[in-house]
Order: sequence, then C-alpha cells, then structure tokens
Amino acid sequence: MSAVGVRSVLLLGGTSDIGTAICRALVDRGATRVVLAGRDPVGLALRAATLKHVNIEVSLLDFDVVDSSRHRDLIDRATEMVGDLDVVICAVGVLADEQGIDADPVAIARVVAVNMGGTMGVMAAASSRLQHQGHGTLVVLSSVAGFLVRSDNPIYGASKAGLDAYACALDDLLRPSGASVLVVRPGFVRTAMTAGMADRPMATTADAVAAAVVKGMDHDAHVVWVPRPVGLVMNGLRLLPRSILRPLLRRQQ
Amino acid sequence: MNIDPRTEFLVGFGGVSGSTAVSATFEPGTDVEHRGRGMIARGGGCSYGDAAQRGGGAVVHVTADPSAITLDLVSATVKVSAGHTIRQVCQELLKQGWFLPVVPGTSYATVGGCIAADVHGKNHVHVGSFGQHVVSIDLVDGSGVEHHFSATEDPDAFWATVAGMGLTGVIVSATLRMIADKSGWMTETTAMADSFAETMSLMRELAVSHHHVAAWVDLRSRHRGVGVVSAANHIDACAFDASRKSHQLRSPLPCPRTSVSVLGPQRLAFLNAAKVISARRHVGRVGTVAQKRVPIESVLWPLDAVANWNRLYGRHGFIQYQVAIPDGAEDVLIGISKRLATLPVYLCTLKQMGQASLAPMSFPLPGWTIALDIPANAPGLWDALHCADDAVAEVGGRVYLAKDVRMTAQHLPTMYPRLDEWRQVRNRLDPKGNMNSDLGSRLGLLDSFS
Ligand SMILES: Cc1cc2nc3c(=O)[nH]c(=O)nc-3n(C[C@H](O)[C@H](O)[C@H](O)COP(=O)(O)OP(=O)(O)OC[C@H]3O[C@@H](n4cnc5c(N)ncnc54)[C@H](O)[C@@H]3O)c2cc1C
Ligand SMILES: NC(=O)c1ccc[n+]([C@@H]2O[C@H](COP(=O)([O-])OP(=O)(O)OC[C@H]3O[C@@H](n4cnc5c(N)ncnc54)[C@H](OP(=O)(O)O)[C@@H]3O)[C@@H](O)[C@H]2O)c1
Repeated sequence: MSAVGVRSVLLLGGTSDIGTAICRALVDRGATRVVLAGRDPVGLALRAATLKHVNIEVSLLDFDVVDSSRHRDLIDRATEMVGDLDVVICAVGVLADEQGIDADPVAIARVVAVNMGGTMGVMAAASSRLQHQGHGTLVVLSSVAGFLVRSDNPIYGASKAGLDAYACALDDLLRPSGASVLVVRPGFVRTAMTAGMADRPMATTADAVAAAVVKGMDHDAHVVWVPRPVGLVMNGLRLLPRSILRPLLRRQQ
Repeated sequence: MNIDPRTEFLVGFGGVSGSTAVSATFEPGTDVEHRGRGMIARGGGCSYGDAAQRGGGAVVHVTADPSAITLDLVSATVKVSAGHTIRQVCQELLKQGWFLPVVPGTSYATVGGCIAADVHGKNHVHVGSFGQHVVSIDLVDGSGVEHHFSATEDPDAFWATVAGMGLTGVIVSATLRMIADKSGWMTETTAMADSFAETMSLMRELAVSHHHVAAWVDLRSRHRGVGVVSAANHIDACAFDASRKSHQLRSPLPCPRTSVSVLGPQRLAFLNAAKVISARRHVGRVGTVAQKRVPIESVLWPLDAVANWNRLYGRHGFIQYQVAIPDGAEDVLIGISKRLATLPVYLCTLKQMGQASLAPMSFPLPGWTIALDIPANAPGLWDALHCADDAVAEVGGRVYLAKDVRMTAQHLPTMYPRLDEWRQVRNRLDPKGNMNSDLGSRLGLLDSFS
C-alpha cells in the first residue's frame, strides 16, 4: 500500500529513534492514529509528545518483546484502539556485548530472544491481523549486519539474519492477501543505539531511513537499503567467492 | 452467495488506499461468507474513496442483465437492474425519447451506486438528488433476505438505503422516474466571472432560466479567481428541428496508464490557464455570454470524454475533497477554497444545491457544494484538509462520503446529525453486521454509539 493512504500506525519499539522517525514521516503523509508500544512508559510518553498535533491521536501500550504469550493480545488491543492497522513497524532491537568466541552464552540467548525469537512472534501476530484485513504493511527493521554477518558483531548480525530471512518468507505468505512486508536494511544510523560509537562509512540518520521507508512503500518495494548504495555494495560482495569474501568480513584486530 | 476463491485488489477512483477482498457473485437467499469482515456491493467503482471495498472481507460485483431495462410509458418510469450504468440506461432511454431526471458527473456510475450515494447532478437546485426520483428499490439485506421498498412501503428502510453507502444490503434493481427528452441535445450557455463571489451570483442568476448549472473556478493560474459558468437546458421536442438526427451517446477515448504523475504543479497551473484562455476565446470577456447547441454528454459528463483520466495522477493517486456548505456560509466556502489554493488544485467545481432529500445520510443540503481535485502526495495536504473539515463542521456543512478516503470519525455526527436514526434502521436490516466497507469501518458507521 502506498504511504499516502496510511491512517493508522502501530510502532513496536515505541521509543526507537528510527521507529518514531518513520511515524513522523507517516503522520506528514496523513496518518492520524498512532499507537506506540514499548516497555518504558516515561520514554513512550515523551515520544508521544513529539508526535502529538491537533488532529493526531497517539495511544500507548505496554509491550515487552520477550513476553511472547501476550503478542496476540497486544495486536488485538491496538486494533481496538485504532481499527484496521495500515502500518505496523517493528523497530525493536538491541546490540550485543560482542566478545567474539568468549561471549557469554546467557547474553547471546538474550539478544536472540529480543531481536529474533520475540520479534518473530510479534511479527507473526501482526501478520495474521494484516492478512485478515486484506491490506497493510509490516515494516521490519533488519540491518545490513544481517545480510553479511561480520565477525566483529556475529551475535547481533546472526540475530538480524534470522529475522531478515523470516521477514522475507513472511512477505511471500502475506502478499496474496493484499498485505505485505517491507524489509528495511539500514547501514550505520546515528541513534540512541549507536550513541558513543564512531561513525561507520556511509553513516545515515533516522530521518533518512524514514524517508526511504515511505518511498519504499510508495513503490510497493520488498526491501529498502539505506543509504541505497549500501545495497549495491552488499549485493556485490555476496557474489564474491568465499575465499575472498570471508577475509574481507573478518574481525579487524 | 457464491464465493469466488479469487481475491482481488480494489481501489477507488482516486487511487488511494486500496485493499484486497474475496470476489463474491450474487445469489439471494444464501448466507454470506466474509470471514467476519463483512461484505459490500460494488458498482462502477466511480466513488473516489474506500466506499466500495472491504479489505479481508467480500465484495459483491453487481452487474447488469443487459435486457432488463423495462419502460412503463404510462407512469413514465423505468425498471432497471442495479448494475446498469447510467450510460446504459440513458442510451436506452434516449432511443425512446426519454432521459433520467438526475445524473451524476460520470455516466459510468451504476444505478445501485447512484442510489447508495444519493448522487446529485448540476440541476440539484431544481430537482433534488437521485433518490428523490427513485420509485422503488429491491434489496437483499445482510442476511440474504429480499425486500421491496418504496416511499410508502417501509419508507424508513427505503430512505436508509438511499445514501446508505451500500451498508443496508445489496440493491438488485430499482424503478426510476423518467423525463421526456426527444433530442439528446442541449443548449449550453457559457459565462465568465471575475471572482469567486461573482461566480456564485452569476450562477444564481443563470439558474433562474437554466436547468443545469455548474462552475469551474481557477484557483491556480495567474487568472486566479476566474470562474467559468456553464448553464444548460434540454432542447425540448418542439424546439428541436426534426430534420436533425437525435443524438446518441458515443464511446470515450482511452487514456494510457502512467506510474508517474503527469499533473505536476506547473502543469496544473498551465492547464488552468489554458482553460481560462479557451473560455475567454469562446465567451469573449467577463460579463458576456456565449450560447451553443451541444450533445447531452458534453454538458453532463465532460470528464467521460477521456476514459481513465484519473490515471494521469500517477501511482499516488489524488484526493477529491468535496464538501457541502449551507446557504449563508458562503464566506466560509470561499475561505476554505482560498486556503486550499496553496495546494496544487487542478479541478475546482462549484454547484448550487437545493432541498435536501429525506434520506438521513444524504449529502446535499440547501447551499453550495465545492469539489477540489488535489494530488494525494501534495505536501501539507492532509493537515490542510483536517483544518478544512473543522471549518466545514462548524458551519453545519459536510464532507461527501462517496468521495472521502481520509476523514476521521470525529466530525461525523456533526456533519451527519441524523446518523443514529439511520443506524437504527440499518441495524434492523442487518442485525448481524454482515455488511461493512473500508469506509464503514474507518468512520465507525456501523457502531451503535460513537
Ligand atoms: C468523473 C466523476 C464525476 C462524478 N460526479 C458526481 C456528481 O456530479 N455528483 C455526485 O453525486 N457524484 C459524482 N461522482 C461520484 C459517483 O457518482 C458516486 O460515487 C457513485 O456512487 C458511483 O457509483 P458506482 O456505481 O460507481 O458505485 P461504487 O463506486 O462502486 O460504489 C459507491 C457506493 O455505492 C454502493 N453501491 C454500489 N452498488 C450498489 C448496489 N448494487 N447495492 C448497494 N450498494 C451499492 C457501494 O457499496 C459504495 O458504498 C462522480 C464520480 C466520478 C468518477
Ligand atoms: N541504529 C543503527 O545503526 C541501526 C542500523 C540497522 C538497523 N537498526 C535496527 O533498527 C531498529 C531501531 O533501532 P534504533 O536505532 O532506533 O535504536 P533504539 O532507539 O535503541 O531503539 C530500539 C528499540 O528497541 C526497544 N526494545 C529493546 N528491547 C526491547 C524489549 N525487550 N521489548 C520491547 N522493546 C524493546 C527499545 O525500547 P526501550 O526504550 O524500552 O529500550 C527501543 O524502542 C532496531 O531493530 C535496530 O536493530 C539500527
């Protein structure tokens, strides 16, 4: 569905910088009802204040992505609040304490539970709603890191790789119903998540990601890369033989 | 109801906010399978918004039985199936020297759609809306039960179906009043005015001697504010020169599909300027009038001359913002138009409206209606329209649901004060809530309390 006709939006990860930037872009395009779902009520209220506007209605929902048994209920409650969901944005994510081989197994399990296990569950719950509606877009924040998993962030990268693969397959399942998935693969984005880290090449902003998402929706795209050239580079790298590719991805000591 | 397992993506004439539904073909007496989302009838798909679609539910395509146009010359009525287009009906009627008293601005709308939206023509001020000329309606309600309504047989259900936006059930056939028209030609008078207010007074003046009056106001080019008024009359049988052949309807030109908008802001301004210049050439200057004899469709359905012209707006589509403003609030109408003129508005049409019909959800009210076509991706559009809604609701005006794709439920009870009365009758016809559309769910039309 083109971003022009969007009226209601559910943001999972309601305090996310990228997620709220997408909400703002959709509000600019005419969305009037926004639900922010997240763990931190104060953070959510602050984000809501930045979106509120005379004709915009913002509601909040309590949501922890690892609490999988409540995901269906969450989607039902969002639907009660705003009716049909035109867009659901999945912007939940955490970075891992990447220690290479020495990483803590408990920490690995926690990151995978958030970025992949929990997120997949809520995506499934949202998808069944979108399928039922016969329209709507599920926007999934994947990452360049999940396309080619480097050895300097294998945990985060692998969790995003799993999520990305699931999202692509979900898109195939949803399309016949009229709903769809938009997989978003940003490079390095300056947000709360990356605060304090040095910029990577082709670093971008949350607003640039939002603009690309809106454009992707307008074109009914399956995948958007931000910035766009990242996609060319990554797809190019993937064509390289393993003997050349893996050393390029190897952790720099 | 037979469910065709095929699902289909459907979108309104404006090309904004489509959804996918199961296509159902029609068979009265059986219950409906719509996966709890409801079902809705679709006619010609000429409504601009999301009225004739139901994402995740079922859409019933109402088609016509081509032979089923039966004239009754004694009562001057015609029985047609709901799926007949206005064009098919008028083509048949013209052959026998008749016409319909009210037609909308497109001949591709179906009779069912015209009843369901209680459409108005350029002659509303004289004859009222489409529903006021419907003698009876045959409808299958949400539970599959057949009904026959008229202004005397279950009038509440009759008037809830007129302007009911398909939410009382599926209209199968109807009997309509006819008017005599031996020629198929009209005399058209074109006149120009210098400002919005003058255009309105010119229209009032012309309405005294003309049946059909509408104006196009330029909001974009350097001729901003110039109004071109078209007023027309059917040529009656005596005035019609028998040596001339009576006119029959022609087919339209096709229009290519484009994914990019070819109606950018500069081009819009250019088209507006071109329209003023061509009117100037024809009329001369402001204050003078020109008259000519023209085929009926070029007055009543000028936009039908090019098929699918809506595609010119590209993949984002466009919004037609149409509102009615009561008499006495003309300054509000002008104010809204001026504010919206900062957006790339191409078409801005103005019509005068007369007595409202008895249908609780009918759009026309005594006053004026204005319709503005704006590309849906115009920056600032949505905000501007929300502000316009506020102004319209405040003076007792309303947004036309057959054109809407974006309004929120907030102003609905103010704009349609008889909403609850209509809901009660609707609930009687469809107690299980089997009928629903994307429009219905967006605006909560079915809710018992808002
Ligand atoms: C170029 C153009 C000019 C127009 N000019 C005018 C105008 O001058 N005046 C005006 O009033 N309108 C005008 N319209 C709007 C149009 O006339 C209405 O939207 C009309 O309802 C369209 O009829 P349709 O058969 O295409 O209906 P659709 O668009 O298919 O449906 C519209 C509504 O009618 C219902 N409906 C359709 N068929 C049935 C049925 N058999 N039983 C029950 N419900 C049904 C649908 O459920 C839906 O709610 C114009 C539209 C266009 C594209
Ligand atoms: N920033 C980048 O460089 C970059 C690049 C590519 C992809 N991404 C992806 O983009 C998405 C958004 O990232 P961002 O940059 O906007 O970061 P962010 O501002 O830190 O947002 C991350 C969001 O995830 C939420 N979250 C974390 N754990 C959660 C849990 N258990 N339950 C519910 N919510 C939880 C956070 O909510 P709390 O406030 O409650 O913690 C926060 O709203 C993430 O999926 C991220 O992986 C980011």
